[in-house]
Amino acid sequence: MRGPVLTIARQELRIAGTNRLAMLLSGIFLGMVLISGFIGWASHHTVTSVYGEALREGAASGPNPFSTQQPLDLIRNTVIYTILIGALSAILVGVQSAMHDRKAGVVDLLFSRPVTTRQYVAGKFLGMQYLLALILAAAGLLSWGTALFIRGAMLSPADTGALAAFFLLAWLFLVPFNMLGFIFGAGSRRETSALLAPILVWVLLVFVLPQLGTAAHPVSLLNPVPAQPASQGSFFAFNHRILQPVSPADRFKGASAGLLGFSPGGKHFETFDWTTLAIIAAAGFIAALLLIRSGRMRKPVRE
Amino acid sequence: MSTSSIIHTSDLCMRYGSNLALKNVNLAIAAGEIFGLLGHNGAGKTTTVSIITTLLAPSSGRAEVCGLDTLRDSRNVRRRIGYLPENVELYDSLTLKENLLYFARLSGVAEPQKRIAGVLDFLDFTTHENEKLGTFSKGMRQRAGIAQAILHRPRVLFLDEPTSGLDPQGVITLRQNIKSLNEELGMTIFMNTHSLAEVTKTCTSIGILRNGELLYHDSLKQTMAAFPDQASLEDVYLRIDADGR
Repeated sequence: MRGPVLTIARQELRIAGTNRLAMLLSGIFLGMVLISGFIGWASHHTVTSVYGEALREGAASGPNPFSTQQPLDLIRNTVIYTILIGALSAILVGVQSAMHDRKAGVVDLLFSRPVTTRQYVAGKFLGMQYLLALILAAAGLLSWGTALFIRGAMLSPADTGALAAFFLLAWLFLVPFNMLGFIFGAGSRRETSALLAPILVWVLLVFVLPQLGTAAHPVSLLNPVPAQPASQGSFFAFNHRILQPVSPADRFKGASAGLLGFSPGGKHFETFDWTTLAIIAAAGFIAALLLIRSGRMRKPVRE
Repeated sequence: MSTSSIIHTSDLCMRYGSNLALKNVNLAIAAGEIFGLLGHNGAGKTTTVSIITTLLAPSSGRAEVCGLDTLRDSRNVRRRIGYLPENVELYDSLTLKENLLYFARLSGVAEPQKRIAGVLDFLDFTTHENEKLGTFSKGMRQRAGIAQAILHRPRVLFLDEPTSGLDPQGVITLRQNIKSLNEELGMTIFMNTHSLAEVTKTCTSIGILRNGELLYHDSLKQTMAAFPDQASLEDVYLRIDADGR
């Protein structure tokens, strides 16, 4: 006999297909992951072609400094797609998961069964994480296949492991955004505010928070590398020291750069970044357990 | 608390802001009864059912079902009750069977497939098990709701305005279902309703709520005997309501 947590998780997967907007965004994310490899290959190809041209014209000498590109450098843009499209998909999955039950009007029936609010949240969490894991596993397979297609050779076991670790890291990064969407979906009176509020928080975390510590390099926000400290100004330097360690986007970029091998320090494991993301993910789940109230969910949703 | 009562409330109060929706409601309903709670719109009927079914916490007072406190022992209370809300809402994109499987599993029913087959057979509803809920009429949804509510063989079944919006045939079918559940499966039924005709045909005891106060509670037989000058339950209801008795 299956317990209520697993039953709710299974039901979550069953109804996931009806969440069209979240599925569409997830599809776009997978498409961008697929394209990411070709963008990586095209940019590398352009740079090496230009360098080859420069060599022929005598404008440069020596071996091509770009020829030692790490195989996983090809998918570096996936880091940004995860932060942008992946996080939005995770928010939508969370909002729609709670909204689906509220709009279907089944909340009273659910909580007239021997199910506690925490079991309900845990079941929903499990179902949504399974769904996110499926999407990220598909993204991982696409990335692996793209690398094989472009390079004409399979990734080494070490690189395959690093790729898998990157998508595990991406899952850790997406969990709090997913929980954010779920919390607002469960508590908001209006569907529009349930969608807009977590998106506002996402904007603050991904764009404003890194900016507060690095006003000198705003362009780095859309680069798959962590924001650099401000070159001048004690305000930004102070913010950088305080805020950057807890900035999920920067921690994700830092750990990704280490895993995929495009950080200045080459391939390495960023323990601090991984730990921070794991703590933020756990905090997201705990917040959902503590903040979601069945009484609030019973209130009707206004369109 | 009366030892034979399966539902018991003592000094139940519910406040929404400054509005006192329930005022010291004391109810005792014996096992095996079909109890009809009558009252105008906003009298507090749904609030009463919501508290007894553990969906709402009272502002003060307490409620017990099968001797279990609805606040402190809510999970065990939920194992013993079934609930049919006024508007039965299930997952429209799933079939009747898929919906019932979900609720059976949530209720911890062993061998849910077998139980669902039995319940649908009992309600004479087997032909619709593979149809999506979104295609169901109001009456069919009501029966699907009853199926969901009795899957785990509850001792008490709560029905909130069960006949609301049903056509005459739907009302007759529902009445037959309620009586069968009471007589064949021994379920105690607690029914909120506006329909005095339905209460006359179905219930064994009644309660009348007005502005959150329980004005009257007695068996239907005693009620009719106590008002020999009144021709129908409708007359009795109007008299009690007017007297504020």
